[in-house]
Amino acid sequence: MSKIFTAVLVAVLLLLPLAVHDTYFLHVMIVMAINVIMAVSMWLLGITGLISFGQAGFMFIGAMTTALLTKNAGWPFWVAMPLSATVAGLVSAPVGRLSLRVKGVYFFLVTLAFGQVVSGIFAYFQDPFGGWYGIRDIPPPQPVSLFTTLNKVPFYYLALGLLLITCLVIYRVSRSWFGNVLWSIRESDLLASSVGIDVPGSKLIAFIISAFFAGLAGSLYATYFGYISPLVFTFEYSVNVLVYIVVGGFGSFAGPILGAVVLTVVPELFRVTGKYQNLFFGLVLIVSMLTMPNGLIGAWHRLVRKA
Amino acid sequence: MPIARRTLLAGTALGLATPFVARAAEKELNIGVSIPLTGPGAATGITTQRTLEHGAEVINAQGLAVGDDVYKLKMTFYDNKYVPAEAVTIVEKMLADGTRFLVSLGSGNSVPVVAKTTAVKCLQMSYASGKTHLTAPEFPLSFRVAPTNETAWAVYPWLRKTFPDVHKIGHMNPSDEAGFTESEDRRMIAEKNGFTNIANEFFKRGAADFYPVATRLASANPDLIDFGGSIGRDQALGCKALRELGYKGMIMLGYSDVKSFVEVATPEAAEGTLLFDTLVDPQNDAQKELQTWWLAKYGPPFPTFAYSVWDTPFILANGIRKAKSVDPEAIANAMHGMTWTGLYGPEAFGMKSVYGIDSTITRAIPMAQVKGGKPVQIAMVAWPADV
Amino acid sequence: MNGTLIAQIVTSGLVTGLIYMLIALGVTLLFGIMRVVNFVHGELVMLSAFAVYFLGSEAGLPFFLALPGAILISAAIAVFCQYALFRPLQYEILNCFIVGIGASFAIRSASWAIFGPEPIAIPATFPGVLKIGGVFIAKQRLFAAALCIALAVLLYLFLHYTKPGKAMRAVEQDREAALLMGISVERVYLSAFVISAILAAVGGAMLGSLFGVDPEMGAEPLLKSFIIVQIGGMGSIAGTVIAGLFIGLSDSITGTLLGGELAFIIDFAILMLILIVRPRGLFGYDV
Repeated sequence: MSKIFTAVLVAVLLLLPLAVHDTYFLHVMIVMAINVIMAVSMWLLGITGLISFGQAGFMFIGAMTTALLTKNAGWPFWVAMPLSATVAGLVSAPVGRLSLRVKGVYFFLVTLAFGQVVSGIFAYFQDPFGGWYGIRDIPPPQPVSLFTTLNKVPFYYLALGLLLITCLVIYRVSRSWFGNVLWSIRESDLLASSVGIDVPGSKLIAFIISAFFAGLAGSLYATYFGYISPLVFTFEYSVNVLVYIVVGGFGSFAGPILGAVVLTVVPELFRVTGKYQNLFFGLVLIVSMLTMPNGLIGAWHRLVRKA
Repeated sequence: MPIARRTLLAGTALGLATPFVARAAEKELNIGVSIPLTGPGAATGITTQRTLEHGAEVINAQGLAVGDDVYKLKMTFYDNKYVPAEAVTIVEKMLADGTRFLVSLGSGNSVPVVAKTTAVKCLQMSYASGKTHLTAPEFPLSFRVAPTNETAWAVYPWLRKTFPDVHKIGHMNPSDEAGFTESEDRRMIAEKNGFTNIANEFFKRGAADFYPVATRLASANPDLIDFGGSIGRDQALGCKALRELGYKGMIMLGYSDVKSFVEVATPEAAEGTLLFDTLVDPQNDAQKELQTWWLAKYGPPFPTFAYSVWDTPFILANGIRKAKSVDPEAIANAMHGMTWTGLYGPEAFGMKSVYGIDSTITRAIPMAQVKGGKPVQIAMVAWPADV
Repeated sequence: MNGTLIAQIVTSGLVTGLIYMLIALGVTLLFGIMRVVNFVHGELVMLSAFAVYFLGSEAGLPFFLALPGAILISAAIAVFCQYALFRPLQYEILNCFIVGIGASFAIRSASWAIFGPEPIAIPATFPGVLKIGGVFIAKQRLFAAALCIALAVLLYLFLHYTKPGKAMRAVEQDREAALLMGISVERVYLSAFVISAILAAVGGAMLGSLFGVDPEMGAEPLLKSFIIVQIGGMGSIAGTVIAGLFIGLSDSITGTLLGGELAFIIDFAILMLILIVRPRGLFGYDV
């Protein structure tokens, strides 16, 4: 059943630009794709029982790598992109190793600190990181004639492609034997290690995978927006991503996706109300936390059960 | 997990449908205004909104005729929260709606979008520091409608004449786009006018404790500290900290809501501060009218930044009439080097000698000083003829 | 680099550190006793500052009346949050964290709308500057420092020498055991919220008089509080005090010598270091 739904959904997404030409709409879809990639990658950490506020930091690293490679070194985006994700993954290894030595709330804070340190370093050094100015005029992917400022469609497909790859990988991982290991770690560290699971090692792998995809999202952001700065990859953004997962629902893969979709759209709806945007966002959060602690998916389950 | 999948589909359908709802179709002359309505700079943003609204009202009442058609200006205001990514999204939305005129406040918001607006042939009018990132021959549709770092071209020669004892200049700027531009320009212009720059400090915008920065500046002991691109609370706290740390030299700043500045810095600390590009008392009827209108509608205090904003829709209307068209490119061509009589008297788009294109506003720069806790007008500096 | 400059840096740093310490004490209390990361704490600081401003400058009350007024308001809001937001979620860490963020966004946004963006300031109760041996200290800063020290001492005495205080420490150490001993955990939780609200209110009043009042003012103190609490150790008053002073000094030194932006990075780098080397902080209980 679910396979059919997924196939239909993917088909719709693939054919969308043929029916819809509104560039603002495509723009929102691309932003949504970035948010979903971030949400899904963070979710993988979540099923391990870890919440990291450093995701924006890894995203920034990915974005910065792409920016420097494509703009300064002139490398093609298609090379820079996997490299950026890899760099984010590589950096995450020692960071993860150190951060994972602490648990629970303390882990939150180390990752938060990490995110701030990354931002701070990139902000402080104008050369080559652009400082608070940031870096602008980041080249789009080759062929440049295709990825122009005016035509969003190729960017849409790029984003969609990366999104599908990310979802496929993360979904597979979560369903695999390794995924079960992660779930079991979330249930109980102690129990998991007592049956011989390498708990620290598994956590680290989840951390690295998560950082890898955050870096990928960052790379996409850099090439699409053409402009990155410390004002983009903030603690607030990491929190946003966390909120996507919580509002959408933790328990299943669809949760972070739904959360990211809904919470990308809601602020756009309220965009014209200007100063009240954050107010509504905050209220949406409060209401969903109080009435739907298992997220939208959980609420749906409850609804369906009642019927 | 069929249930979850269905939810996913529903959610995506929701996501797909909503942008259609979020837009509205308009037939007037649409102008998008990207300003900070929350966060730092919100004060300026709100002033901008109110002033532009009224300006559009006046123009619409007069009627903007192009050939046989009469256009009404319709301004839509967006909160960019002073975050570049928001500014970009706002422009995307605007352009998709068919809007081809942008008014943008803040260089952090104006610079990232100028490449796009140029490519799409959207006319962009910015209140921002920007130099060649915003004002250059490659951006023929980008106009700067408030002199920012440029004011220094007029102010420093005036300083030289009016305060002959001032030789050493210190600079204090926020560590961002605007701040770096201001710092660079002001130091260069100061040197050109025979001053020595002995200190150049940056602070994180929105910081609370200015003692560290102020300590460094005070120990360099310049004769005058130029606050450059600093705005809002940063100015007041910087001034307060400097005075508390014993700094006795002069302080100069602009872009200020003077009442708030004096209140937060404390009147003792604020005393004697030079205010560049600050109009205190209406010098002519047009200015008086604006002030009267504001006080009647919103009550005191009257933010003098409104003076800087007022002309914008009129400049655009002027350009439209001169070009006899509502096509942004035609208007832009008409506006290069255009002269007109605005709120400050004779004004023009100029500065070709500096930027290679005359798309930056040039006008008289009013100077004021804080005396007895209130701003007092002390000069109207004419724009130097050679710039 | 002369002696006066060093003295100035140290003095400035200690004084700012004390104010952040006060706010952090509110955070550590809730953190330690209920494992609740109260994101709304920053907004309590901000709302209290506005309260003092309006009660003082607008309604004309002297500071020593405006402050208690603000304290009442702060406590009311804190208790409201406790019963409306945190208790329904059973004080579960992550959920409380998120709902706290939501509330913080909402409150901040509403404040922008209501109070407007023009920065205002609480007039100093003790205006003027003292000059001691080449070092400048604003009198208001000394007043703030004194108030913070006084409150910290009071808090310490409360926790160690009064019955409700000891009950609080008992719950912090072992909730089940405290319940078994007949301590009303609910009452302790309530007191914790109220006390943290008081600390936030005073902190807000002090910050407002030194740095002005605006809707964003709560964000930075909150972040700094988290750092301080972690370095000092959850639930430890002494730890928070020392960490608060340390952070204040560190900010002052790095800010003056290296520039303001670096100071923030260094704060966080220190945090990471501490968490890695000694996760429980200087004086915290073992995790």
